[in-house]
Amino acid sequence: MSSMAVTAKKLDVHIGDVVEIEGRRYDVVSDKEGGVTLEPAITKTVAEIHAEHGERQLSSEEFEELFGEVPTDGEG
Amino acid sequence: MPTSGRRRLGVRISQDVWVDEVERLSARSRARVAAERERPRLERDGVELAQLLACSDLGADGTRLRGLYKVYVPISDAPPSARPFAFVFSVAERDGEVYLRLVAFGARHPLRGTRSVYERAHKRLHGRYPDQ
Repeated sequence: MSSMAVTAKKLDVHIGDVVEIEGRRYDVVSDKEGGVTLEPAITKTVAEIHAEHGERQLSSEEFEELFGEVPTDGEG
Repeated sequence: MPTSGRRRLGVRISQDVWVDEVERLSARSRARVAAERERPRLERDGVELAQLLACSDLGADGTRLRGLYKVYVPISDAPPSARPFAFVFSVAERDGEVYLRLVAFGARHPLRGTRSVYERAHKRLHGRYPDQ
C-alpha cells in the first residue's frame, strides 16, 4: 500500500481570526476539546446590520412599551 | 403587510445575513429547507406577536441575548419540541416604523461541534462567541 504524500500548510491563526479559503470566509473557533475548528464566518454585528440599513435598534424596554411583555422560555 | 385580527410585526431580511445564516447549510438539510419554506411568508406577512419569545438575558450556555426575540421553526402552533430550529431577530425602528430584523438562524440544540442559533446570535450581538 502506498503512503499518501501530503504536505500540511502551516497556518498562523488563532481563535477569533477570520480566514478566507477559496473565496469563502470562516471563523477560527474553539472545538471545545483544546483544538480549533472552522465555521462559516459571522462578520457583521447586530449594530452594524442596523447601521447599514439606517435604522435604530430598539431596546427590550422600548419594545415592550409598544407591544407589551413578551414571554421567555429560558432556553436561550 | 396584511392583518388578520391577530397582531403581527413585519420582518426584514438582509440577503447577506440570509447567506451567512441559511445558505451556509447544505441545500437539502432539514434546517435550510425549513428556513427557505418560511421566508416568503415571513417577508409578506411578518410574525404573529403570539409566536414571539424573548431571548434570555443569560442562557445556560453562557449566551446573553437581552433585547433579541425568537420564533421557533417551523412556525406553527406545534409544541416547541417539534420545532427544532429558530430565527432570532433584533427590533428595528426607522421613520416611525417598528419591525424585526433577522440576525441569526440555526438549530436550537445542535449536535456536538456545531454552534446553536443562540451562540450565533450572541456573536452577532457581542462580536464573539460566548466561549471566546
